[in-house]
Amino acid sequence: MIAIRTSRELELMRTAGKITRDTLLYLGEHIKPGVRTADLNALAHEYILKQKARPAFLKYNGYPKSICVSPDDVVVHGIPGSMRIEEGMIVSIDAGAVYEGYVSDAARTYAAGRISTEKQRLIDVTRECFYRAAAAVRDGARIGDISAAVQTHAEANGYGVVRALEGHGIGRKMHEDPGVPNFGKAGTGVRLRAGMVICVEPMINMGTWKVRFEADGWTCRTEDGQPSAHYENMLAVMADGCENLTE
Amino acid sequence: MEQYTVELGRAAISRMGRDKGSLYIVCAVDGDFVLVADGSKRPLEKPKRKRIKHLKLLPDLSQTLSEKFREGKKVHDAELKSCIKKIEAGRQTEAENKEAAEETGQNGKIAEKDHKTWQKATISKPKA
Repeated sequence: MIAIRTSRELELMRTAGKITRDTLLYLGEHIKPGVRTADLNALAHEYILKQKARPAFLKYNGYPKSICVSPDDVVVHGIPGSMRIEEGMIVSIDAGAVYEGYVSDAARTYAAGRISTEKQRLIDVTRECFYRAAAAVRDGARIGDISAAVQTHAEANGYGVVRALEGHGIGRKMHEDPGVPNFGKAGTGVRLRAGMVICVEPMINMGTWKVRFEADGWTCRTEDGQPSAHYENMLAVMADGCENLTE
Repeated sequence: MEQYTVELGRAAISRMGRDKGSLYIVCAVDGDFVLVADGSKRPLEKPKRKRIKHLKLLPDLSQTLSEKFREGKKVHDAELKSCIKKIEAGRQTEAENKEAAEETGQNGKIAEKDHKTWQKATISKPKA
């Protein structure tokens, strides 16, 4: 069952979305070589609490921290810890906040100091994949339109599209229907309706699309060790387009 | 935060029904439902039809089984059983590691509660 949000619910989700947006902006200023990933987690945790929200990821399905910090070949779900960020890394941060019972979720990939031209291009193309996908979102469009937009652009640039994980509906829970894969055929899948809220989140690898999961049950890495980038926003479907709630 | 895709070869645990807690492999997808099997109680000849929302999808995905299902190649129950055995072993190791981490506390230091108990035990004097 896919929820259609009321105006009141959308208003609450806008506030939840702003909190996550601002958290990511705040963290972006602190991503520097030498910073521990646990420090970023502590900063995010405190920041979200100060906005009178709570971190959506903490204890979600047993996840132990408030954000995910995923450097280089870690695709997603990197668990913050004692690891220090190094010059030249790209670092994906995924964060979410729960405000008055409504969840928000977004992700960005940042450069730590000076990065290679190849890594910068990966970040740029991943972001472009998101915007091409968002351009397809409107009442009457299909999930497959989003998926095809991401896959076409990523593969045209020689990159791999992660298939093991996907975007999702969101609202009172982090993961709601429908699933929003980053690969697929245009014109297929669930039909979008105004009032739905979905998270579109391309996860794009420099090399193979294949990934593996570590023994901790969370950390997801590219199978070939090449870097991966992530860009995610929460989109409210409208009659003639969408509203980006986390940007 | 992303969710795991519903796809052929994906491992999943039943969350509802008499088979709650059972570990399966997805062998077919049909809208809101999937067919799952484990190669023993639920062989491929007689898979279980489950609602996707009644399953907890796991990160474990067998690429070999996934390709075989997609290409319509023959999959044997023994392959499913072997895959499930590996996943169960992996989850057991995870659970043991987690338990060990909880006992020792973070950073390998003795958990505060146990440390105080130990201290108390060593300073108590034996009775004459």
